[in-house]
Amino acid sequence: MKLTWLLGLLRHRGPRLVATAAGVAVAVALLGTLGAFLAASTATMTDRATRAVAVDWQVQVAPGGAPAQLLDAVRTAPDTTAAVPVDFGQTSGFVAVTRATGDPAATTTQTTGPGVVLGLPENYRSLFPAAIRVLAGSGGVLLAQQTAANLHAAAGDTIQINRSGLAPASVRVDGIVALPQADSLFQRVGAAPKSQPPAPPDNVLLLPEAQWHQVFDPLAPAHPDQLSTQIHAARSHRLPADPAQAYNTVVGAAHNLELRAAGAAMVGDNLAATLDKARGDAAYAQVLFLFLGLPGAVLAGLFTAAVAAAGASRRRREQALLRARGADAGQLVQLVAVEAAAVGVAGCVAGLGAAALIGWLTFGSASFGSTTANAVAWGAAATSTGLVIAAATILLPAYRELRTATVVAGRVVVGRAETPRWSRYGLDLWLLAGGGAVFWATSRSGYQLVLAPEGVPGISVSYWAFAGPALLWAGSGLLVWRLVELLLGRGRPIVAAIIAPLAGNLATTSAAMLSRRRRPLARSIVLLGLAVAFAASTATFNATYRQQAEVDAQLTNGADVTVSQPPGSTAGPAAAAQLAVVAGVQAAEPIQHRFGYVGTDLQDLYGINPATITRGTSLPDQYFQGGTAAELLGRLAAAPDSILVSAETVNDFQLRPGDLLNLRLPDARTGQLIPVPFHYAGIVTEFPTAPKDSFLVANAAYLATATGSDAVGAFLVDTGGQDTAAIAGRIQALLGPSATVTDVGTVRGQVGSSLTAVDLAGLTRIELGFALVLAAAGGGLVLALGLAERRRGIAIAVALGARRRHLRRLAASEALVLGGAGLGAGAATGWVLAEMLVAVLTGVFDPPPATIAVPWAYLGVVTVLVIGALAVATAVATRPAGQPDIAPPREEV
Amino acid sequence: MSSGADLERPSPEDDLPEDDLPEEDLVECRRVSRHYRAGTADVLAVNEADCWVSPGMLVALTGPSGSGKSTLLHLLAGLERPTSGRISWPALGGMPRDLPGAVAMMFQGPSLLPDLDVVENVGLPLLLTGEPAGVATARATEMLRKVGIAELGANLPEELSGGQAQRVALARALITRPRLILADEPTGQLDRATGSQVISVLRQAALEFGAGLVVATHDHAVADRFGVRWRMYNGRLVAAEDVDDRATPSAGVGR
Repeated sequence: MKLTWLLGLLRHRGPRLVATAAGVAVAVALLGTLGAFLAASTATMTDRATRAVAVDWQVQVAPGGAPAQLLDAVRTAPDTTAAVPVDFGQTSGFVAVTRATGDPAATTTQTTGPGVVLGLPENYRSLFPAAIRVLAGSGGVLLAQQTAANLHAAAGDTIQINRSGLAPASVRVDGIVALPQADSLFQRVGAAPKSQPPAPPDNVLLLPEAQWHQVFDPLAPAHPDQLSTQIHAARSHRLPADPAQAYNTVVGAAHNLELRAAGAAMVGDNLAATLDKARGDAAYAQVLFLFLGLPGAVLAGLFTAAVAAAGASRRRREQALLRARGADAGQLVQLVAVEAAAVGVAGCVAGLGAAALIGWLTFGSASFGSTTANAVAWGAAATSTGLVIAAATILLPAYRELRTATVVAGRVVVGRAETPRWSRYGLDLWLLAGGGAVFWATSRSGYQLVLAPEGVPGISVSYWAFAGPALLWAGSGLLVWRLVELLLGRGRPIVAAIIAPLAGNLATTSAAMLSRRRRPLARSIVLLGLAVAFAASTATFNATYRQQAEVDAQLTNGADVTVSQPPGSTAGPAAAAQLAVVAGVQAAEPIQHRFGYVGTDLQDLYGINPATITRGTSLPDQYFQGGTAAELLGRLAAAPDSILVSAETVNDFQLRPGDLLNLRLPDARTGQLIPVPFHYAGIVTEFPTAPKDSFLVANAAYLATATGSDAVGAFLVDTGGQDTAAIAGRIQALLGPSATVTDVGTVRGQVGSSLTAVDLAGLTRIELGFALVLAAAGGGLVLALGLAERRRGIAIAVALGARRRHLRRLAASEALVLGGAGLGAGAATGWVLAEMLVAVLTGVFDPPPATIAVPWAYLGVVTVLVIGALAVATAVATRPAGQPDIAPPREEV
Repeated sequence: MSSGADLERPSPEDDLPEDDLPEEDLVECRRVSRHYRAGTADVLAVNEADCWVSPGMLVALTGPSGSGKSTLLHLLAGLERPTSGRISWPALGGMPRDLPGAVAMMFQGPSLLPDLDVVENVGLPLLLTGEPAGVATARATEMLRKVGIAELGANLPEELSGGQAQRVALARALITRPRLILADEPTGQLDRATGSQVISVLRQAALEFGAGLVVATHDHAVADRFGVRWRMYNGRLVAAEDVDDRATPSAGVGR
């Protein structure tokens, strides 16, 4: 009997069963794909994080310790793949005598401040290839790029190394190198982050190990404090895929070494430091899944429920008929269970297949987890969810009706259903209030969604912050439901007036029909609204993230292409003309970079030309406070001695507009600090190339006059955003290897924000794709199913004389109400949700956005898709009128 | 007197003045057959029926369940196309679907639109002919008064009894003053007295509108009130006065 029933359903209700199974499949596929996303993210997160580490361990040999013994200890430590000693020697400075520019006979002498000389074993560069990048020359004595610039030295030149109490040692430079990870290379091992040096040393020389010993061994007796040794170790990167586990493993190994060395060693654990950040990223990945992914799965469940509910009347009639023919409740439940099982199993199989395919296409992995157990768990969770959705949307309503309904009640019920309990108690408003309260609590300044204290194994993720958007989501859905019911009930004349242009003389009748069907219509509108809101909020979050990543890159690099001048350079703004003629360069804007004392605070000071600065870089309003960018630049231009300062400085010094601010700046002529008066003109929060903490922006011309130098710190090059890498290459070729030329594209890849390790693009690609499917389904399929459910009514109307245009008017009126209200509700909810998501997830943005970025193109696609789906549904639903047989369905009339 | 299978022209009803009668038939069927598929079975619902209905002609269509009465009415109403044969509506000047309100059909069983109240259901055919909503409502209310259920105007179909729903369907069928009225078991859910009233209303309306009326019924008492009686048997249409209930279906006239 069950098989016969199932075959009958498949034969006669095939399309509806397929649609319901499709809803289950979408939910299962979404969950499965998210599993694949998380698997792919966490699987590569450790790998990606560790790949960037140049030197895994820098083990500091304690003063008086035995480097050889420690080297053995490090080499024999489990998972160490290589370990070499690296010697550090302090110098009071380097001196170079080079030929003067323009006069080959003359020479000039350059002297630097204190520096560091490293003694490296011969194989160091092959063991730690990411630590040193050779710019010119080859192995041997290598001079850091900035030092070479300071000394005007090149490969082949001889420089002197000053030694305390000894004669300078001379070495011949073989090459120029960059030290990409100088910060960690010159870290103070064992010191707290706040005690680390603010910047790596300006002057660095790398010597072969033997040569270093020749130069510095004589210094050991008198100045052992100026010499030190580290053991640099490469470790196996075969670590757990989860960065949190990998972090714990790596930290444990470092502690083990320190324990075994019994105080003779301290591990500078660069690997752990990187993984420490990556584990926070991993936690954010989970949070993002929760915030961005789960709503989609819930939506797919609701969508399935709506599809199943569209067949509720049919199922109710069938049950009534079966009961009238003697079927008992148990048999009826079994028959509905067969339908639910068929839909659930088909949906799960299709969903898992789709997830595997999407995972394979998107992440190159068809697995749902990083490990087999993980994959099985995700697959089982997705399948269970699919089966639960099928049971909850088909079996449960039918079972509930069986318990309460009679054969007579099996007739279609329309129009006068009583107000639901949630509406009477104002649940929607309570949910919205709750969401608002949670949002307020979680978006206060200082609130951290993911807390991963450095060195602490545990990570704290505030999952309850998810309650804010979740409550808002549920509350706004119910509020939309309430408003739609209100509009279609008491507001029926308004609806009639709205649809009158479409429905003509059928407007009142159409409004009456819509009013009596307001319950299922409200459900469809809520579904469509939530689907659109899901699409809008996800897309907006994504767009905002991209916007901020771009802002971050622009801020860090300063412009499309930036040419940084080495310290001590005296090149003036006129050099910009040289850059301006490079192909692709639209403008080159010089900015000065100085340091000045505000009281006892040493701050970066940027000298700009307010009239032309925006030719080289963009200065959004959000970089400034108390006015727009144009207004504040105008204030700078209006008074030569005006200055923009950070909010912190304003606060610290209680500044008011116009207040005198005396800075102490180095005078280029005397090298002495001189007081220079400025007048406070406004607050600047961000500025290209500026640090994140306090800095100052003033007029370049005034600075040049006051300090006696118009030396430029950097040239900001505008390329119109085009071919930044290629143009940077051309500029580099023009200026030679000693120039530091960076382009925004390269910087964008390097800086990223904390989610760089999480494949956010992959996640949002999944989300945005599913959102489109759900929005189209929420609009078109639900309308089509609703209209199909009324096929008999349509046939009767045709029998009464309705032409296809009449049916179109009626269906189009419903589509207008559904689409208009759904899109409107979706846009409003999506906007609020996006604002909330961006606020709650503010930790993923760097810098935090002043405004959200609206992805108009994607929203346009969503809107067109929804309208298109509604139009197709309307056309399909009214198609029978054009066919020859227009009698009401035979079995029903 | 006309007959479903009698190809001779009938004489007009005795009670109609001769000069009121138009010359053309409202509907004419020539060897009309209708097949349809029910699952795997091929059903021949109507088998080469020949019939016509003239203005003022009142016909009772009888026959056992499944004999093809409803299908024949659908064919006469233009709701279904014949599989073979020819059907035309000479007096109407076109297909019923192109002439909203010209042909009215009362369906067997519930046929009211569940989302519309009684007044809206009754007024819908008028709206479909292009009448303004106000006119449709006024005439629907008037028609409901005529069939004696004016007080039900604001009710929804689900709130009506079977008999009440049938009378609403009657009011809806008549509101456009159709030229051809086709009623499928209009008294099936009614008690005898109410059923009689409904038939009276139908007859009266047909005479008033100068319309043809075909009523499918199982009720002999109802059939007896019609001067012309057709009978269906296994898809074949025969004239009632020519058929003996005990005769074989193939004995139908007109072959």
